[in-house]
Amino acid sequence: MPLTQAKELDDVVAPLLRRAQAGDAAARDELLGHCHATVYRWAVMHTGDADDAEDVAQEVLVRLDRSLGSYSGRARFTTWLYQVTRNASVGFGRRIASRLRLARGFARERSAIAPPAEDPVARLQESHIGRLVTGLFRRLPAKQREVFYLADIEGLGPQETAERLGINPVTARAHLFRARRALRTWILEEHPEVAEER
Amino acid sequence: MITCAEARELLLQADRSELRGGSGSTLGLHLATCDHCRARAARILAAEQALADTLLGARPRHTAPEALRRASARPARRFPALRRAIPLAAAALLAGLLIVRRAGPPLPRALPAPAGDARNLTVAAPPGRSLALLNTANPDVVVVWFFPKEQP
Repeated sequence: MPLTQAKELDDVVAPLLRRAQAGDAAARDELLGHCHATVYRWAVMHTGDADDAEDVAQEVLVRLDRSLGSYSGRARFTTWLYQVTRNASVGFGRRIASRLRLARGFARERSAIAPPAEDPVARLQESHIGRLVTGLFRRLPAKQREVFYLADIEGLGPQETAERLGINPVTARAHLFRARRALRTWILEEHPEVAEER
Repeated sequence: MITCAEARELLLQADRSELRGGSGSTLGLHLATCDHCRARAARILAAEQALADTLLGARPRHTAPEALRRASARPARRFPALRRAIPLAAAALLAGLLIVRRAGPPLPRALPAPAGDARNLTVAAPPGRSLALLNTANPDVVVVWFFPKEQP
């Protein structure tokens, strides 16, 4: 069962896409707006850094803006967009690996992606646990992290998760089980404070 | 019925609906009767919800139009393919030079006509050089070897 009831991006962008391809500037802007937030979240998942994710999201938006007219619709839009984001993240990671990774602190990475909350006390607690578990999540191997994110955070089914990553559904399921096992073992063994603080 | 150790193993891989105890699965039945394992499941659910809140709550600082403006304001990377090709070309050139240096002097451009047998050949050595004619296993191939004359 998905953790969120987030509306499927495909449903939102399908009518916008047709209008944008027909030259409707307002539809194009709206579509880019919807994609921007989603692409940014994917980029955060891939890069683990808010600033890097901003740069990746910008790059993807530019590519999307340029190639909107040539998008044929053969692949599902979100699958295509996810691949573009993933490639951009990988390329970005390669470009900055040598000069930035060592320079950026763990704490800054985590605090930069903490969500806003209404109650200051709740915000402190939630951001602490969120940072803590996000740190554990970042320890997962890349493929397990992606599968866990798509299946257990975004709530995609095994078939769609596999399709988006271009892998077999059985392989996706295996990655998901490994990711859950690792993450939950760390939660239970390394961070007993998680339950008490919520 | 299963033991708590068995339930823990199942907890580590179970879908979230099972962790909530709502299903009639083996794990769900155990969670309904075991406070300890239910507390473990609750910890996992709380942690994963916090993770989801953090990841799904992440928002870009800029709107899409602002992001596009900022991206277009950056200096464009010119000739990216050329940038990638330059190190490759340099490496290929270096490798080529090393191979040429190891291979010794270049072969003559025009090979003499096959002689059949070295004993029937008349070959003059250039000044300061001696020569040797060597038959090979192939009767159509004779090796003519010029080498420096030994100094007395």
